[in-house]
Amino acid sequence: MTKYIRTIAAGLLLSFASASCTDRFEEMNIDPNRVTLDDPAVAAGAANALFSSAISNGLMRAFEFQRVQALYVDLFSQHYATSAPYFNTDKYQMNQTWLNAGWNLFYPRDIANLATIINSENTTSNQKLIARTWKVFLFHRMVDMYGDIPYFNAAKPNEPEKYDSQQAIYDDFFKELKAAADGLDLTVTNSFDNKDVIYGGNTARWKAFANALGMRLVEISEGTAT
Amino acid sequence: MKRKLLLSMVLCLWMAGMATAQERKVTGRVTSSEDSQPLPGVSVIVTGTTTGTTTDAAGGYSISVPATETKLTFSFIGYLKEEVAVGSQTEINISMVQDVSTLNEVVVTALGVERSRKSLGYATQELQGKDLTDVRTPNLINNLAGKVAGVVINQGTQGPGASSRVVLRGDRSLLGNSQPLYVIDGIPIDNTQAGQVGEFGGSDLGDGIGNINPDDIESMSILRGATAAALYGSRAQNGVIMITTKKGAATKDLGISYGVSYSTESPMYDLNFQDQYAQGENGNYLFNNENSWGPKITGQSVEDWNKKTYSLASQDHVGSFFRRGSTLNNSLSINGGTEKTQLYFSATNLTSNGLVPNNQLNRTTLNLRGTVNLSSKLTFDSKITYLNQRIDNRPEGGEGPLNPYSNAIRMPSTVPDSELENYELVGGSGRASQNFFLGNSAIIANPYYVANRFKLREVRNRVIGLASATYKFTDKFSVLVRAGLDTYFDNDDRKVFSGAPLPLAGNSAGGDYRTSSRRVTEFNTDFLLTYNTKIAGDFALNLQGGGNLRRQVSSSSVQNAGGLDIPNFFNVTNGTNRVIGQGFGEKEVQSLYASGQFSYKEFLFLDVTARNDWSSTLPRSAWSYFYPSVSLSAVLSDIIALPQEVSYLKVRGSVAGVGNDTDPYRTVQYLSPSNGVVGTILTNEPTLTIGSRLKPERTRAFETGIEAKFLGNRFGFDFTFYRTNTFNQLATLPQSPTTGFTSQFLNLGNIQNQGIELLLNAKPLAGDFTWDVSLNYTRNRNKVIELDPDGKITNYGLGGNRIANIGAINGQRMGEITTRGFQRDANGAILINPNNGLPLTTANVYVGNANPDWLAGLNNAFSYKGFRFEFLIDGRFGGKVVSHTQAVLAGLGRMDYTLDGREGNLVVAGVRAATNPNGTLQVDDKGKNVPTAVANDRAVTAQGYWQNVGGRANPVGEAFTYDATNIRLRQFTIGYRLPVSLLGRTPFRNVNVSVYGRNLFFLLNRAPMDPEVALNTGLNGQGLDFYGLPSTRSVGVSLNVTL
Repeated sequence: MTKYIRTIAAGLLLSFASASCTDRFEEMNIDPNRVTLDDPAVAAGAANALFSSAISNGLMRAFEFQRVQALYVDLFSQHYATSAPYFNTDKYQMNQTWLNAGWNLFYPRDIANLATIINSENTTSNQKLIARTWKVFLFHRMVDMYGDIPYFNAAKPNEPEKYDSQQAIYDDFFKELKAAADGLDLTVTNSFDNKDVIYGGNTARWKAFANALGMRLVEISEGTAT
Repeated sequence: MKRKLLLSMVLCLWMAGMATAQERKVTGRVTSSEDSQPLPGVSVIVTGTTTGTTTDAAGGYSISVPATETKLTFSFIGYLKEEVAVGSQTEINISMVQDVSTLNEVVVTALGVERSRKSLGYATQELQGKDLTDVRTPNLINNLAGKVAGVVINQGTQGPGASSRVVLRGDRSLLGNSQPLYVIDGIPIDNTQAGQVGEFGGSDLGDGIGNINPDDIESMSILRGATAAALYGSRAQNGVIMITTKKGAATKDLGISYGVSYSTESPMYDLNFQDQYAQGENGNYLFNNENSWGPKITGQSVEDWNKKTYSLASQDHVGSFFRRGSTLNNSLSINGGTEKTQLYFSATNLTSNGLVPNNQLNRTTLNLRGTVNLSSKLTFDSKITYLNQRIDNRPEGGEGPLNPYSNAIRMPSTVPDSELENYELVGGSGRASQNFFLGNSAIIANPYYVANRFKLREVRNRVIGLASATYKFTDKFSVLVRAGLDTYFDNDDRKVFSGAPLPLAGNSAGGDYRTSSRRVTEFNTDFLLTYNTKIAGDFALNLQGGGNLRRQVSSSSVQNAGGLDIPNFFNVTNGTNRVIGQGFGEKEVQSLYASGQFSYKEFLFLDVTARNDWSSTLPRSAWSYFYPSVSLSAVLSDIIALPQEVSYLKVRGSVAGVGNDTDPYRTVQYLSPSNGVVGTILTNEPTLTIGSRLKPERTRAFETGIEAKFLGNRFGFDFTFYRTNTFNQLATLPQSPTTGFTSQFLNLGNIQNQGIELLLNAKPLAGDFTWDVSLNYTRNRNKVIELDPDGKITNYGLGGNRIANIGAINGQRMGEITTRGFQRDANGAILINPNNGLPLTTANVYVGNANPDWLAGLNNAFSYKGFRFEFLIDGRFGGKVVSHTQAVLAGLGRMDYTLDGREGNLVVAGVRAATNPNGTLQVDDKGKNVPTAVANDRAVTAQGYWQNVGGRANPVGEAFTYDATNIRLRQFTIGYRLPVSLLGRTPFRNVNVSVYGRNLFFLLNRAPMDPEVALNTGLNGQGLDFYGLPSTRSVGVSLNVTL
């Protein structure tokens, strides 16, 4: 009897011990409701969806557009005026809240999303090049608005934070756009599937955009932009 | 019929007893020599055998004594063991004497192991079930307030079923959860707070401990320190509250108990509103204005928003809107068994009606516990508790139209209640809408409309179960195998009717519907080996080794049907703007632990524990973490000769470490989905995780104490000093957004809590008339020793809102409050802008800390024969509370203190700020204004002043900061137990009646509200009053009978 019960007890302990494996730990600690680009099964679709958010947010949603562009830059430059006494930007007064609104979301949301596409091993060459082109487009507006800003180490959390000169940033813009225009594989279309609401997956037009943006940046940098 | 059934069952059991024959039957009653009251639970054993029973609730017992045996042994915790020769007696009544010399009190410690109090190297405090049921609170844990040292409790304010914040020995977690682990019968339960109120509203969705039925609780053990908790692992770093529930006992008769209690609740305090000025601004009546800066009320005739004429009169909106709350609790339990099988069954229903109309909590709990001794070696114990809880229309908190209390207190006093009560109007199209003067406000609504046309229902079904088997290989060696389950399913429905203000109805005229569900499961499997032996002579050894496997799984889904197409048809399919969401979380922790207790001559005890956890939430390199504890206890009164007056003296000390993991999914950088214009879009999580470099969180604790009893048991004290440091905290650190992330999740910080706890007990009177006094005192000092490793962060934000920021300030404490404050000169005089007469303010003025400096509770209990009278005075000293409620009500001109200067003007006391020649204010290099020595003489209107200082957007919090010191009569009980002589001919063995009250009144309160009422029960809501419902005063009666 005692022997029998000892066997049961030993069995119970053993079954406990066999359940006590950390084999499942890594798998268990993966969130099923969120994704990463490291998972090849979803990487393609996930990159598209990331690009989608970079487009929609990068064009500045109404809220930030109003504060940074309309209420700030446009009033500052007297493109239009207001009689409301509390919109003080037309009197060349700083409004920290509005300034921060554009800044605080730009890096963590727009640039980090694009950096994820650019740095991933599971995105295609065309996806990376289009993302780099779009990144130049977004950054040039920031540089033009804020002047010297963090650029080379932007969205690189392990690198020291540093401000880069407009000159250096513009020089890099041209490199990036040239790389895109030269590198885009025109035989591959629909790089971001239906999420490319700008050119509908037409790679040739992205290449044209890279070239045209380059021209515009030349004009801006030479002060001849209209 | 039932009675017959019970009788026949008893008969069967009795006949079963007869079958073994050749035995004598002895019956009797055991009482306490001290007060002649019956002693339930006394163990009665046939001396020299293992045959035994325990006494029932009336102290009665019945035992069969084999012909060969001659003696009975009576033993009970805290009483001297009695041995009685049976002889030819068939009835043995004995009176047991309290054992004051050894005080061999038994307490339940970690893993449910019962140990004598004197052997413990750390402080614990016990409460009995009676302490939780004498005076009832919907969330039983609130009953700890004032009774237990080292505990700070803040109640949620959203009516019955609100969560409570319980902190043992100070806040230590920067991420927010410093609440203890709750363990019921050795099985941890889930205490998730599913929802929290924010400054703009939201719902407190209750917590886990609040569901537990106090009627089923036998005792509660509060293990405050990490040493006591080291064996419960990770979650025990904040302390453990152990609950032991009732079990069946082998008794002569069935024990049937029935208890009913009924109480009514009313607000504990009123706000002091002004009743002299009408709705409007600048002295003018305006029917569509939220302010109370209108004309003086003289009964003048005006038109309301429906063009009805009425005469202005001040009314008490809060009084007429609130109803009297009530709580009815019915509880039935049946308890009985034989020496082999014991059962306990209970059924309890609690119905609580809140102050807000249509707000109700209804909770039914069924509980079955069975213990079977299959042989002298094998025991099975199992329990299943099922509870169903429904909460209707839990009021929202914070500032918003869905908080009915906020609506009622903001309402100008002249708005006619008669019109508000008629809360809905039906328009020409047949569509109903809110009857209110600001029908589309996102801030204020008609409280009656909200109470009737904003329908919330939260239903929880919860099962807590346990099954365990203990096998005794020998007297010295045993094994326990146990499985425990806690699972609940919540279903919440939220209906906003058509015609509600659009901000509420999801900007749709048709109404809004949301249904959500949540399932939480925690599964624990344990084994525990125990080995007790006497090594040699005076040395004894008790070894335990065990393992635990814990799995926690939670899933949730929410379906939001915005804009109902067919108005008031609450079906998700009917929504025109449907948004669905889901969540999931899973973690597993595996543990192995061992503990050893070495004792010498029962006066020197050394405890060593060691535990290793493996948690799935940490990176591979940190899965495994180990932590030990050592404690020592010495009963000096047994070692050295002490004066006769000192009957007991013990010193103790311990050191412990605890490791902790985190939530699931913190090691990988994720992309989160949301709905975009062209399908799903993904966004980088703004919090960067350092992933594989995460380490487990650590707590290091030290405590020492001394416990003494004098003159027998008449006086005693228990003093504890403790220090805990919680470091390597897993928390988020803000960082520059240019890194691509707004914060980083990593190990940081070192929070220290250091304090003393003192318990004093005295029994000034003993005998027929007894008087017991106990006083507990707690003082905790929290210190932020380090925040981030680089020392860049000086104030770690714990929460912020329009009136105040709560933070952990480096070198100071957690819970520091900063608000907008007045600019002052060197003498403290307020700087006044000479151009408008208004005070000059500045942001980030430190006003104090949300935590009390010290707490004390004083309990007095008197008894005479069957009468009992007990009252508890509870005080909190120090700390501050900032009230957004007051800021807003002042800005609106609702408060009585806004009456000054209404006729004529106010001149704010202070000094003029210096001006430049052109009239603008001078500013120094720090951006501050410059004082002059000239007193202010520029007058302002009362409205101008209070709208500047108060108001909802950016109030001067300093003006609405109050000292949180308060002393209150926390509770009282007057009870009477009918004498046994009166019950002789009735079927009742025990009848108790009592009258009780809770939160009766303040003996001292410097704030205009209850300073214990906070915005929410999280870390970010402490020290803040944001339209919380007033605390309730409750007065009730109860009747308990035992058959």
